[in-house]
This record gives sequence, structure tokens and C-alpha cells, in this order.
Amino acid sequence: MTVTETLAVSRDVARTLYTNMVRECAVDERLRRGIASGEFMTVIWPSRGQEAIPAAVGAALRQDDRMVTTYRGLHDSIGKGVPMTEIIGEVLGRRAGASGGKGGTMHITDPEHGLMLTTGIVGAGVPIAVGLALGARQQKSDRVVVVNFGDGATNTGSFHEGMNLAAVWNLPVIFICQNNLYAEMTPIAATMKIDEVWKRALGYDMVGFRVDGNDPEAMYVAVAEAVERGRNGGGPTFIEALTFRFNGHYFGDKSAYIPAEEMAEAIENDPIVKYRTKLIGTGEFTEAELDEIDAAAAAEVDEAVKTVMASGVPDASDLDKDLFDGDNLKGIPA
Amino acid sequence: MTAQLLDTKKMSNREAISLALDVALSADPRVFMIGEDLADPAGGVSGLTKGLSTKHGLDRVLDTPISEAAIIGAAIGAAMEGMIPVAEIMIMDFITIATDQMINHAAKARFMSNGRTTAPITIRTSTFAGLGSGATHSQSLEAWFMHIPGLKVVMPSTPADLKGLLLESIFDPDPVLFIETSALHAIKGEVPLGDVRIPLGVADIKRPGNDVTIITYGAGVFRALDAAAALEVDGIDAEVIDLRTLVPLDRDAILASVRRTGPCRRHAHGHRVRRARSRDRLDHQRGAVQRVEGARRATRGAVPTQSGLCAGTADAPLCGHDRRSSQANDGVHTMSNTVSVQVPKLTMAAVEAVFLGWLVEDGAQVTAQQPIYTVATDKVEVEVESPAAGILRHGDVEEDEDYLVGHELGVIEID
Repeated sequence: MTVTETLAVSRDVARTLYTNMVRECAVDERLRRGIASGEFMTVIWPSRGQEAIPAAVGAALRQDDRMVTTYRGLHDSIGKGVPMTEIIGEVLGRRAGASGGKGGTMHITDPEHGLMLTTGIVGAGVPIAVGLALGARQQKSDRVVVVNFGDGATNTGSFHEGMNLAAVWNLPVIFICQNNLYAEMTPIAATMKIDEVWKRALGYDMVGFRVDGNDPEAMYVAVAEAVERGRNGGGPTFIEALTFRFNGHYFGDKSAYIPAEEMAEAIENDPIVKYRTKLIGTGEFTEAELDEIDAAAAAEVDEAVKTVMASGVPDASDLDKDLFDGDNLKGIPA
Repeated sequence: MTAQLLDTKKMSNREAISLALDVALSADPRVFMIGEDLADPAGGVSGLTKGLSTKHGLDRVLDTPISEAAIIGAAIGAAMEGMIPVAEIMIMDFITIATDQMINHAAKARFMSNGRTTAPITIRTSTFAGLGSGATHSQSLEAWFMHIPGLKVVMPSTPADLKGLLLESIFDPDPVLFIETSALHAIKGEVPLGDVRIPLGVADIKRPGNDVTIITYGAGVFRALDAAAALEVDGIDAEVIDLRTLVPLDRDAILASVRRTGPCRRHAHGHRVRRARSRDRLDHQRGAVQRVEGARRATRGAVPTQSGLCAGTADAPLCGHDRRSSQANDGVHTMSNTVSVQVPKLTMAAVEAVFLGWLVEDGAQVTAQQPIYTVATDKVEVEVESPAAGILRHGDVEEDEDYLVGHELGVIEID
């Protein structure tokens, strides 16, 4: 066949990028299908369309590097290496979840894979990420911290306080703004005067730039450069990753506020389809090899759902656990 | 453990807090402080952290921007990595900016992660009630935080309790809100030296009694002791319980006392204490529960009233109470031909000053703005000018003694 494109990364990295994207998508689609059919009841904030960003982040980070993400973070968790069973288990409130089903979709935590916090409060993860980086410095570790958030979060006070502190203390934080152009249901032009979010970094004298967040290779190169900077004492980086969100703010949101043609164009440029086409176009990958990756992801998700559904739900008594150390409630108001 | 066997030293609340921080920083390399203006030469807005950055290093005593959410958020992140942060929110009113981090993150980390992460931070803050800085620098908001599952709330009143409970809070495995009371900073008492801790959730009987129980904490302790002394004159023997920690609450101590005394008078904010009693159906037995608490009003500013300011010792406190609440503290007595010479409030957090001596003889003629005596606080030593021209009459004051802000040192007889 004719080679139409070339890889900007190694074949191994490209394979990881594609695999991550497909696994992220498989979980999101399976959960939406299960909710829509009444198979299970839960709430998710779909990440379909934004897969390239965490695919690249996951490929560029070490397992012991830290991550903070948000309620629209299922793709981030998968990219960081959190097992599917733990993610789906948490989304479905089952014992197999990362937090035994007590955290829920918005609060997935897996320190073994570096996912220290998923927050449901827009912007709030930013100062905590700064603290994780401070901890790394205090412990003389070269690990870095990635904090994910949307364009909307950059309008919060917490974001600005955290950006300033990371900059003034020169901490190894990589700020990744997944700019999907809508803050919940409001278009970005109605919420900020600047036309490019990365310009926020200028106010903190922080390295910042915009990347096509739907191009996993460009994203990988950008994150790898930021990781290198952070590890070597070069301080924080702000990456604006331009992307789009196919399924609204939360599952069931019909996205009435997004013009039909804008949505159609975004779906036309589905990053997974595009990357698959590119990989084949380079001649480095065959349809069959990529089909195999797709099938493995689907099988992994089905297996995870089965394990999760068989694991049961937490007891009412579990709600008294892990409130205080040692589950000691003496003197605690009932 | 017997108190008599421990090395103790007499010190103020201010010094006791500072000592606890020093002991904690020395005891464990994971401990660090994070907050505004902590490092030398500033040494904290109230001088509490003076010397700590010089002794332990600027990487252990971190000065931050004025960013309360980032202070608490950064403390949480570092705590999740196993560090032991002691964060300072300078004045309790400013905690409002950090409540998302405290309530949604610090208090919830252990629960939401099923114990996979924890945020055992200590948040030190101080209520500036009574110091004249107005409605946004005077609030005591501890009752809010008592209602947040996952947070512990500590509010001691005496030097020994502050030191022992601060050390315990710092090394406690849960997030602790540790509330100091700036109006009590001058209170002095014997404090055990070294890493001596007091467990959370244990109330202390500050005055035993048999007829009525007064349950209180923080600045209320000294008002309650004053009230108990007044009741004694009327033949009523009041017991004063200092809760010291609000969460966990020492229900056993409360119930044991009221079983003996019957009636219960509470000096506090919030409803938890009364609920603890009501649940045990003690109300009807011998007497009613009464609440004595702050009015549901904002705090006025600019006119320090001495209300709640205390000096003296933990055993024999000298408190201003409401003595001057109806009187503008601008030094002018409008009812007579004298102008009061009062201890000036030299800093925002000043409670007391050391009177170093007169510069002008008793009975001498002075001019307005003429320096007439010298005082020292932890921050400054100054010669104080006369508030008016006239004859200076020395009051009954002694050199090198502490006097509350607003204390009358003497008067100027005007012509």
C-alpha cells in the first residue's frame, strides 16, 4: 500500500497511544450503553471525543508520577493505568471499585497507579496537585504531577491560586487544560475574554502553549517535553489541549447549546477514527493488528463489567468506615 | 503520667503555641508549616512563629502568597504523600476562602478513597474576636466545622492545653481544625516542656463544683470561671468544664458532671452539646439546660471593648469582659475633667503590654504628645505620648507587669 503519513513517535509509543484511546472509548461506550438500556443506574460525565489527551499523558508518564483529574476523568484514569474493574466498579458503586464503591464516578482514587484524586469540584484539584508536587520535592523524588481540568476551571479562584503557587515555587506540575470549548453548557466565548486559554500561563511567567488535543502524537511530544522540564527542576508547564466532547456535560444531556454543524464536524474528525486511519496510512500497522487491539479492549470491558456486577454493593455499615482513622467514632456527633 | 514529674515552665498561650510548633518540627522531619507571613523576620502576624524558620529552615516554614485555598490545597496534597503539614489561616474569618478544600477534600479523602488516601493536615487559625477589627476579622466559626463528618475541631484556652493539644493534633491521623483565641494570647500558666501531648476528646474540669455545671471552651472558659466566682458569693458552687475539643466531644465528662449537678449552663455556639444531653433525657430530672452565647449579630469594629480580652494566669485570669463595652475607648472621659491614660493597642493582635515605667513624675505638668511612659509588646517597644495637656496622676500600676490593652495606667487632670 501507499505510505501517506509518517509517525512522529516510535512504533511502540504509537501502539500504546492507540491502545489507550480504544480502551478509554470502550469503557465510556459500554457505560453509556448500560445506562441507556436500564442495565444499571449511575451518573457519568462522558469523555468520548477527548481520548487522545490521556492516551498521550499515560504514555509519557511513569507509574509513580501523580495525577489529579475531574469528574469527566474516566479516560484520564484509564490512560494512567487504573484497572478497568476498579473504574467501572466505582462508577457502578460496587465493591470491586477503586474505593469499594463508596467514591462513585466523581471520586476515583488509585494511588498505586498514581491517581491521587478525582474531584467533583471544578478547579479544586489544582491546589492539591501543587501540594502533591511539593511533597515530591520534600521527599527528593523526581516524580511529576499532571492535573487535568477543563476550560471552565480556569475561571475559578482555586485555579489561579494554584497556578501562581506552582510558578512561584517552581514545582513539577503539568497543567493540562482539556479545552472542549464548553464549560458545562456555556460556550467558552461567554465565559472568558481571551481566545486561547494557554495565555493564562503568561500571567504567571509559566511555559504555556496550545496543542491539538485530538492528535495523540502531538500531545505526546508536548507532554513528554513538559515531563522532562518538571523532572529536571525546570518548573511547571501549562498545556491547552484543544478537543471536543461528543456526549454533553453529563449522560443524557442533549447538547442543545452546541450548533448541529459544530457537533457534526467534530464527530467527522473523531480522533480515534483519524488516528486509526493514520496508523494504517503509515504502513506501520495493519487493519488486523488494530482490530485485535479493538477486540481486546471490548473483551476487557465485558470481563470487567461481569466482575463488577458480581462483587456486590457496600453495606450500610461501610458508611461508618474510613470516616476517621481506625473507624473510631467515639465522641463524633451522630 | 503525673504532671509533677514533668519539667514545666511558666509561659503565655502565645509562647505555648510557638513551643508546640518548635517541638513538632524538631520531632519529625515530615512536619512543615505553610501559611502567610510565617517566616522570619515577620514571624507571623501575632509573632507566634518567630524564630522557627531561622531554626528549622525556610523549607520547613513556608511563606505563601495570600491564597487560602492554595494553602489548604497544597497542605492536602503534601499530606496525601505522607508529609505532616501544619497550615495556618491567619484569622479565622479567612477560612471561608478555604472551606472547599477543607470540607470537600480534606474531610472526605479517607472516606471517598476507602482509606487509600488520607489528608491528616492540621489547620491552625485564630479568632480575633474582641480585638476591634470589625465584622470580618472577629468571627468564631467553629460550630460550622463541627457539622462536617471527617473533621476534628479543637479549641483550647490555656497554655498547657494549647501546647499538648496542638502536638496531638499535628500527629493525629485525621484532619484537625485547631482554633486559637487571640484575645487569650497573654494568659500565662505552667506548661510541661518537651513532646507532651493531651489526647483529643477529653474535657477538663477547670473548676470542680456541685450545684451547677457550666460547659464551655475557648474564651468562654475565663468568663465561666469569673461567673463561678460570682456565684460563689451567692453560695452556689459551680463546676466549669472546658471541652477543649469539640469533635470528638467528651460526652462522658458532660454527662458525669450534670448527673451530679443537675442544672446545666452551656457557654458555646451550636447545638451539639445540648443534643448530647437531651438524648440522655437528663433535662427533666433536676433542671433545665440553658445556652449563654453570642448575639446573632455582626461584630462592630474600631472600638476595642476589652470584651473577652484576658491576661493574668490560667488559674487567676485577669479579664476585661464587658467592663468598657458602653464606653468609647478613645481615652476621653466625658463625665469629668480627666483624660484616661490607657495601654494603647499597638498592633492588630495586641492583647496586653508590659508597662516598663513612667518617664514623668506623679503630679507633674505634661503637654499633649509629650512621652510619659514606656511599654513593650512582643512586636515593639515604644514611648507613649500623653493624650492631653495637664497634670499626670500615676495609677496603681507596677513596672514590668502585664496590663491589658485599655487598662487605665493613670489620668491626666486637664485645666
